[in-house]
Amino acid sequence: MSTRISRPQRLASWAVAVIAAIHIVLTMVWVAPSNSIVKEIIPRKTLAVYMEPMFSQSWSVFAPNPMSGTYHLEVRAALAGAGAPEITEWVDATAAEYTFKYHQLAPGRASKTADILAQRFKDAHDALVSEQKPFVENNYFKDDWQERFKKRLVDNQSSKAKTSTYLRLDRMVTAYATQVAHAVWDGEIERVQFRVTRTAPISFAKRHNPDAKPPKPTVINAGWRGTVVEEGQNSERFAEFFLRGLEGAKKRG
Amino acid sequence: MADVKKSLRVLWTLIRTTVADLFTRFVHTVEDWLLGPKKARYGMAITRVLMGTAALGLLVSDFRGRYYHYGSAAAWNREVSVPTSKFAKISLFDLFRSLVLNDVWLTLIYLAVMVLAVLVILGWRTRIVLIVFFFAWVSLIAINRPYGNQGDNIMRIAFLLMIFADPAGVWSLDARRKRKQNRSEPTGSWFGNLLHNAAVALMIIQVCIVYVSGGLYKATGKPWQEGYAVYNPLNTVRYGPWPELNEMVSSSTLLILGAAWGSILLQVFFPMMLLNRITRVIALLGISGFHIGIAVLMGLAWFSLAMLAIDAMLIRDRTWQKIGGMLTALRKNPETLLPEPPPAAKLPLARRRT
Repeated sequence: MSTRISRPQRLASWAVAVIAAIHIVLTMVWVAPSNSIVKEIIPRKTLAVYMEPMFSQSWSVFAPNPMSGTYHLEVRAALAGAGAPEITEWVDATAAEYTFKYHQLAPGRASKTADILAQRFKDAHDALVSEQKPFVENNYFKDDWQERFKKRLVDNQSSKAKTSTYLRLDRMVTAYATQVAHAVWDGEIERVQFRVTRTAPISFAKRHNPDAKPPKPTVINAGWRGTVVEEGQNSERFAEFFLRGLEGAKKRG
Repeated sequence: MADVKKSLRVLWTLIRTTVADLFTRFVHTVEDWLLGPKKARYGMAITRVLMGTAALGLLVSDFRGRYYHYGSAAAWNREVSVPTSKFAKISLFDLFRSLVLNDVWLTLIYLAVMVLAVLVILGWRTRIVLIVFFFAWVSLIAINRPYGNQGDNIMRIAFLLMIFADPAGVWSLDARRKRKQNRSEPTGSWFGNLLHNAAVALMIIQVCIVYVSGGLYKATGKPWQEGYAVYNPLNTVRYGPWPELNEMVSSSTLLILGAAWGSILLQVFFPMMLLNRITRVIALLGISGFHIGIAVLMGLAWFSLAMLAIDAMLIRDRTWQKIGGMLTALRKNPETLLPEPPPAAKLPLARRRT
């Protein structure tokens, strides 16, 4: 075989082999731990120019520490009334969407919307500095509340990027909560409130212990927010899917 | 003294010629492998079918929730105006963002991508379909990147590499069409073979990188070292579509431990196990069990199917052809699969008189 290979074929095969080999090595460096000393040879940002977004990948997803918490995103609203606004009960959006995952061989991604949103929110919130966190719990829903809230956080920030990420997520959850409120309750929604909870299971060692109590959940209580409706939002489409989920959640008890 | 010099010269010649010989053999092996006949043709056909199914499956499972996940019900996530995916900056991979808030457009786009996935499965005009599908698929998935997972990454890379290969040379509508047109299947152009074989190598090496790195990362974690690691995700709502099943698995220390240590060893040693036929079979059976377990217990069906799809290329073409032959026989002439009846001459004479 080798004797019948012509020169151009040989050159082409080696060109391809070398490109492939370089790609493999770069992939291995990219996949390797990012805090290794390899970053002195190839900085991660430089490597990212080649690897992202086409070859983006990360295989440390369940390792070293696999996910161990369940997130819940709950929403309630204040409905405009004759006198004082009526405060509704809390609705668990994560549980509602779980209907689309429960006993499904191939659950769709829609079923983890609130779940992932809750995690993103908690991660963004955890990145805030302690001076900023109290403002999250305060109420901001009158007039130019978004500006006032932003100013409070920015005035106390230590990282511009982390604050802007948090503000983006706070707005996103508020917009999501607004849709949940519109779906579940009739009437004019004056303001919405959400809370994000993370619960961990009983540790493996204690799982057979009947007296064992699960670890205390972490709760982030956001204050009341004004309603947020983003451009292009279709509340009916949201409601038709969400309410089906909520029905299922009620049936599961 | 002269003897020592002579011996050294002989030793040096020996080393020189051995190295030169090994180098030449290495060079020829690489060239022959890359430029030779297409490797894993049947394996990659299965890869094509299963990857197409994984893509179609993902779309079908979110069909009822398409507005909620990609469309007008999801405007609250502002992916359309402030996208999180880096693909949004590349127009060929950002084909639909401006359209998805319109229900009719989204449904049309969604159905079109489903049709393309079906065409990939069937292997119809595969190269051009794969290319169009690739841009459409990546564009659609990128719209809601925070809700994706690593399955999206491996599928994208595998689809990209398949474009350079020949995943529909056999077991496809394209192959049937070429047979009908009596186009004799030569060994193929050397350039086509080169690209195909390089793609096969890259896909397999990519999958080995996934397994080995994943295994090594696991090994560095306390929950994995101590053996209880899988208990944690199995007891979350996100990865618990069948809480009763997860409960059953969690109650068995042996299963939990086996899953943790077994997956580490299997993943880390995977590439080495491929080098010997027996260990290769064990590795493939093990990794298939791993993927099926993840698919069923954690609800990650399509990600698992995509990984199984690429692993299909590790089964030899000869084995695939045998399986194909058995299935064809089963369909057309089931009796041929049964053992042969004894010839009539062997029957006792008494019987023949009736």
